[in-house]
Formats: sequence, C-alpha cells, structure tokens
Amino acid sequence: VSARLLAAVLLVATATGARAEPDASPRWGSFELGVGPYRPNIDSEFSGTGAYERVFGTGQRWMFRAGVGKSVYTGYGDVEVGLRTGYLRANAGAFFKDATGTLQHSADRTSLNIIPTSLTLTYYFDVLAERFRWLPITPYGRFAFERYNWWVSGGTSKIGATNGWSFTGGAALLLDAIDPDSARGLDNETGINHTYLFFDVTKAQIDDFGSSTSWNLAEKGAQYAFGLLMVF
Amino acid sequence: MRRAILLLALIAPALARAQATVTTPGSITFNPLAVGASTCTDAGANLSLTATPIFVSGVSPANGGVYRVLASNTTPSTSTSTTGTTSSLSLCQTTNSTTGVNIITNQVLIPGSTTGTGDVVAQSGATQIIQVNAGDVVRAAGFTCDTTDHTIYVCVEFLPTGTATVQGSATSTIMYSVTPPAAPTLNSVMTADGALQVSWSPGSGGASPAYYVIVATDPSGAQRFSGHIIAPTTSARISGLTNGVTYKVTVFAYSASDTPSVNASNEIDGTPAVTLGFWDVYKAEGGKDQGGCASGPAGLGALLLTAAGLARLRRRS
Repeated sequence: VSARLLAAVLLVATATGARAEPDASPRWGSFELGVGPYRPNIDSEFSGTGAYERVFGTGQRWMFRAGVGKSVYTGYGDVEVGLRTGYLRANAGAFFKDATGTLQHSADRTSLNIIPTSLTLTYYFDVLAERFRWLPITPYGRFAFERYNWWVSGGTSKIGATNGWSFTGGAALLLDAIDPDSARGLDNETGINHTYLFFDVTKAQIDDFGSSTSWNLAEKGAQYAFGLLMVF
Repeated sequence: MRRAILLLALIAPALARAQATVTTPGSITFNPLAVGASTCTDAGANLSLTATPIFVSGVSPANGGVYRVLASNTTPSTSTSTTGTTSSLSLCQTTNSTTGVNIITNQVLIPGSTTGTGDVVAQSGATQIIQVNAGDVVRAAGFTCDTTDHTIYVCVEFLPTGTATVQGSATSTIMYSVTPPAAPTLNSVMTADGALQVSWSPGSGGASPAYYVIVATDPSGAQRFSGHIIAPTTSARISGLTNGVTYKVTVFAYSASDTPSVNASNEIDGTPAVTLGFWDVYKAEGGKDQGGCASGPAGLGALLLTAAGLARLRRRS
C-alpha cells in the first residue's frame, strides 16, 4: 500500500510541478557576473611572513569576474564552452630602506594587478530545474584553463602571466520560480530564458603547471564566488 | 483697430520694463585674488580683471564700444538706477564717471586692442580680460599702500560706440590686504622616491591662508620650492629632490594678496629614498618568479590544445 501511495504522490507531483514552457526561446548560451574573496597564495613559497603579506597584509580582496558561454550540447543538461575574465587590484604603501637597512613605510604606493582569463568547459545539470518548479536548483561543474595576466607597479615594475587550471563545483538557484510569468515575459522581450543566482567553489592551481620559476596565484584553499547567471 | 491700439498701449510699458531691467549682476574675477603691500607699490604689477558684464537688452559688445574700470571705497548703493538702465550699475552710479573722480582713466588695456591706450574698443564676446595696474586700483579707491586692510569696490562698465550712456556693467570687490596668515604647523614629512610627502595644519589667527608653499633646504642651503598648494589642502608632495640627501622642510602660508606668514612653520627633516615596491620586496625575500610567462611555450601550447579539443567537441555536437 505504501509503495502505491508513494508512486501516486510522485505521479501527482510530477504532473502538477512539471513546467510547461512552450514559448521559451532557443538557448544560445549564458552570461554571468560574479564576485568572490581572493588572496593569491604567493607566500606559499616562503616560510613565515611572505612578501605578499608584508606588503598587502592578511586581508582578502574582492575579485570581480564576468564570463560568457556558448552552448555546444543541450539535452540532458547543457554543456557550454566559454571565456571568463575579471580583475583584482591589491594596493598598499611601498617601502624604503632607512640608514640601518631596515624596511620603512614610504609615502609611495605599490600595487599588484591581476586580470585572470579562463577558457572554460561547463556542464549545467538543469534537468531538475527545467522539469520541477519546486526544485529550482541547477548543479554545475566546470573545468578551466587559466591564464592570470598580472603587473606590479610602484618601485620596480614587472609584468607577466601565469598559467594553470581550475575545477569548479557550484549550484545555481533558478529565480524564474519566484515569478514564472515575469520570467516568461523577460524571455519574450529580451531572449533571456532563465536567471539564476549562483554560488560556487573553485580549486585552482595557477603556477605555470608546477614551474620552478613561477609563483602561485591560486587561492590558498578553495575560492568562493557568487553572482548572477543569465541563460539566453 | 482701436482695441488693438488700446491693448498695445497697455502692454507697451510692461514690455519696455522687461527690456530695460537686468536683474542678474555681472561678475568680475581678479588675478591675483587680492592686492598686497608689495604689489601695491610695484609700478609693474598688473591686476587682471576677467569681467562678464550684464548688458541692457539689445546691446551687444560685438557692435563696438568702450570699457571703463572704476574703483571706489564706498559700499555701492542698492537703489534703483536713476538713469533707467540696470540695478547692477549701482556701484558705477556712486562714482562720477564723467569727472574722473574715483575712475581709473587711461589705464585700461585689453589684449588685442587697436587703440593701445585709453578707453578701448570692445572686443567680440561678452567676457573681457582687462589689465590694470594694481596700485592704481588702490589709489583710485582713495587709499594708499599703507598697513591697513581695505575693501575696494570695482565696477567695469560698457558704453556702446557713440553714446555716453552706460549700457552694461559688472561689479565686485577686491581686498587690499596686508595682514599675513599665521604660520602653519608642520605635522609630518614622509619619504618618497625623489620626493617628500608633507602634511601640516593651518595656524590660528591672521588672514585666511589662500595657499601654501613647501620649502625644502638641502645641507648646502639650496632651496627647492613647491608650487602653490591651494587652501584648504594641507598635504602635498615636493618633488625633484635627490635620494639620500636630508632636507630641512618648512611650510609658508600666503594670503590672497600674496602676503606670506611672518614665520615659517616648524622644521622637520626628511630624506628621499628609492621606493621598494611589491616586486622588490618579493625578490628580496627570495621569490622565484621571474616575470613574463614562466611556462612559456608549454603553457601556450596547453591552451591551444584545449581550444582545439573544444572546437572538435563542438563540431561533433
């Protein structure tokens, strides 16, 4: 009896919760804007207080990122290839050596600027969110080749780029479920099929694939980010 | 027809009033902002007036005319003009523009003037830059270059060619100021690369500081001055210094009439030095990155292979 009851409940839930979107526009890809705390693990090559902490302190800074993806497979979920970029600037007082050779704070400033660029392959498991209004969650995973372009100013200037890779896992909350009619109207007017809030966790290695002459620009632990994802 | 004439008669005075009334006064800005004792006694010291008069409706300076500059020690009347021109002419009306009393005559020069001296032909454009001798302004107002501060009322008036009636004017005031500002208090001098970053507080009493000048004196006594640091800014950098040389730093405050504080601020030593930025600190601590792209062709190759793989995947899909 309980098995029959469970089957009946599931059938009803599926029937009533299924989302019919006969007029949804075709899916081309997605666009996202995100932000997350970031602190490059440059000091991993030093014991004790490293250069980054000595100059920029221990606090984390916010890295802003934007990305665009093109759907290459749409069926049981969605696969996208994409490009992402962003910006981070760490800025602090520079130093000088006093008569005793001790570092003292200078009136000049020094900064580390990073523009990360990524070539991404992302899988969105949006089957549940597409099918069930009461489960508006889309898990996703992403692999990316990373190239962090950077430059240092103040004192000796330096410019460079550090390559690496990253894995990301995240979940996106489908906002359409809050107001389906408005979401459908937005699709009709702008072509934006869905709007999500996302949160993800990234594990990266940005050290020129283990090069002995490269610093490590990856976050020390996992890097968190959140933002807005629009599927169009 | 009668009704039309009657209507015209009714509205004509109103129209005439609207044309003759100018409610917005013109403006004059001065450079320097005030006249000091040394400027007053310097026969070659000019006071530059940038005047934007208000003209009676229908009058244009582009049609020619003359500008005159008048100065007075009397607060201008705010009463309505008796000559029916404009209320903004009130200062000019307190002086006698025909007898020469309190009038700066034959001192006005406008760049580009074809007459060279005396009253000048109006240039095109409503704004005129007029150079007058600073001491003449003080004397025309009835003052001498003494040790007392005075307020001088200045009027620029425009007379179209062929008429003795003022048809445009601008008014303002300028101070004859000999009171110096108080000496500032120097708070800190920070090292920078070939420079020193200086911060100070204004002194109390005296005239309001209009600007400050930083003075850095090297051991040989040679001095380097900053530019004018306009108040209320109280921190600035003095550049062009030599790293490793210790300078004695002071700050002077100046009033709008360029009168300096009697004394300099207190003195603080500062020594410019080479700046060590993040990269310098990183390398000094033994950092291994070399800059550029450390993975070089290998990293670029990996990216290209990935791009090719993704393109192939897309073709299959």
